[in-house]
Amino acid sequence: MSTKAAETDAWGFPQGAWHATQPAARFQQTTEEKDADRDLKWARMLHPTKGFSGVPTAVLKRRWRKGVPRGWRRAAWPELMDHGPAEFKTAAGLRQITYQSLVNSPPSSYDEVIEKDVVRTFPRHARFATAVADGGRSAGGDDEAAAISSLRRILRAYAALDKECGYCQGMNYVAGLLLLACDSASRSPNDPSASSDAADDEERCFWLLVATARGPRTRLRDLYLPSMVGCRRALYAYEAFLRKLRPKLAAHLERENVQPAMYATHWFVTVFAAQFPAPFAARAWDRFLAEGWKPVYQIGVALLAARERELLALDFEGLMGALRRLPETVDVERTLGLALRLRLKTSDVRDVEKRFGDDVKPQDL
Amino acid sequence: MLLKVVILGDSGVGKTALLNQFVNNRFSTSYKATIGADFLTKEAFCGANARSVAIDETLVTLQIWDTAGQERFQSLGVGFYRGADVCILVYDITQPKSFENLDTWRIEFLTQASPSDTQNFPFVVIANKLDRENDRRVATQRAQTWCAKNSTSILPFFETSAKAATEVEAAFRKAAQLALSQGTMQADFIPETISFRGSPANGDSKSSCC
Ligand SMILES: Nc1nc2c(ncn2[C@@H]2O[C@H](COP(=O)(O)OP(=O)(O)OP(=O)(O)O)[C@@H](O)[C@H]2O)c(=O)[nH]1
Ligand SMILES: [Mg+2]
Repeated sequence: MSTKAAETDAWGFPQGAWHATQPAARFQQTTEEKDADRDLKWARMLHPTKGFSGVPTAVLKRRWRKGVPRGWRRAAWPELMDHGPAEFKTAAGLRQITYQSLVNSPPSSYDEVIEKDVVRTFPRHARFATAVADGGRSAGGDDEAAAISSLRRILRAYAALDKECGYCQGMNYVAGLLLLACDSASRSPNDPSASSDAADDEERCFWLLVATARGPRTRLRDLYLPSMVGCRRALYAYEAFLRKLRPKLAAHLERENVQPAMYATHWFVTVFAAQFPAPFAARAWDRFLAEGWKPVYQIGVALLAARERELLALDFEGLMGALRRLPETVDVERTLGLALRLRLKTSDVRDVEKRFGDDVKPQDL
Repeated sequence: MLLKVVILGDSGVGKTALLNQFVNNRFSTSYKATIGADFLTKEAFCGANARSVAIDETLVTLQIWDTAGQERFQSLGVGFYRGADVCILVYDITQPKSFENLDTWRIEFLTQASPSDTQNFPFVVIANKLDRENDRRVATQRAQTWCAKNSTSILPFFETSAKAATEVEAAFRKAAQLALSQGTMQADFIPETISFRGSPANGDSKSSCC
């Protein structure tokens, strides 16, 4: 166990290329002392039953933007949402539906692709690692990593709940991130909520997935629908904001014929969960759940803006190479800090998304 | 000389694995599902016709587009199919449905890429996971019949294993060759970009593939 701990990061991912690219100084800044201090702040702020009530919004906002501590995401994420899992569980139409009944629903046409994806979700993580590497059917047997079985049940249950949407590739990474971020094993020692087992964690993640898919602020379901209209909307908005915030870079990319759909689809479909390192993805999610799509666009633009000079000197192939390596080379603090400084208003997002609706021909929707 | 290659097929047939084997000579046990698109390049020496010897060989850069296999990703407007010089269609010999979907993939590609000559646009068909012969559910004969039916000339067909590195190089070499002759025919062949092989190709991104 001890050797294993030395080779994996706080999230359980093996130390890899990404760790090597992180500026050492930045890591030293987050000393244990500082972490302990932040942990206590969140313990004081987040009440086990009353949530964040009484905490001034400005304080809360400042703190989630600095990042929810690893041990508090399980408790904080549902509370940061405008329509959290609790609302969905009790919403009309969902009230009588239990997770168990959804898990036990009859097989669907999505099972096949779900099966292919559950063994291809964070395969380098021990909890998702699989012996089945040949694309054969994963046995679902005893030796299967526990998280894979959880993932399979969550994704099948979602497809059973939402037949119009079913399963869209990418949801596997979202559910996978939720499972890793919200498991009770990594929760803060100061979190007083009753400890729970893996089955509880799994069910919590399922309702969190439902809430992010259907919540009016996060609306992930729009991206997953067969038309993927929400994904096209996100790519459209991102491109508009890149033009607005970094016109020179946007013009360069356009000249070189590099379109957002060529490199950024996975950013939006999974809100950075598919390829980016978990600490980065989770920080993006801290803001996404609390603020919706604006920070997602800011972070998207910041990913490029942080490397503007380098990117301006590259041609099509160089650009595509650099963009595809962004996840493994991202400087977390610099990028997230820059994202906060990029001036974007909630009304800008509303306007651009409306323009998308006007621009797109009805038959394309 | 730049050649644009698009690789299509159902989710899980092994497109990403094939590319990784071709470009990096590796098979990994930890592939992730491709979301959206991915882009890789590889330089190779290639002759436009099968009998060419070293002196005819052209240094080509293959620009390869890997795509998500789930059908709904097609609705993202797949602009990068446009301008493709060759399309590789992949199915999994253990998954009959992935074979049956070749028609859909072919038509989808032709619709989106809208090449000038739809009739003669070059395709290569790959039957992947040959190392799982025991689980085979698509007979070679059946695939060959499909290839004959869907082409005026011969539609090249390869049975490969990305895992065992069987025939992967050969399939991509064929694709590059077809793309090159296609390019030549379309007269956008730019002589200045041809480099003759003066010294042995080395470095891991270059290979003498033809
Ligand atoms: N046995 C065997 N397994 C393979 C081979 N090629 C790929 N696989 C496995 O099949 C699974 C799917 O391979 P991918 O390359 O991810 O498939 P893909 O076509 O890119 O799938 P999408 O990205 O979802 O469209 C992975 O688990 C691979 O390890 C092969 O030649 N033999
Ligand atoms: Mg793939």
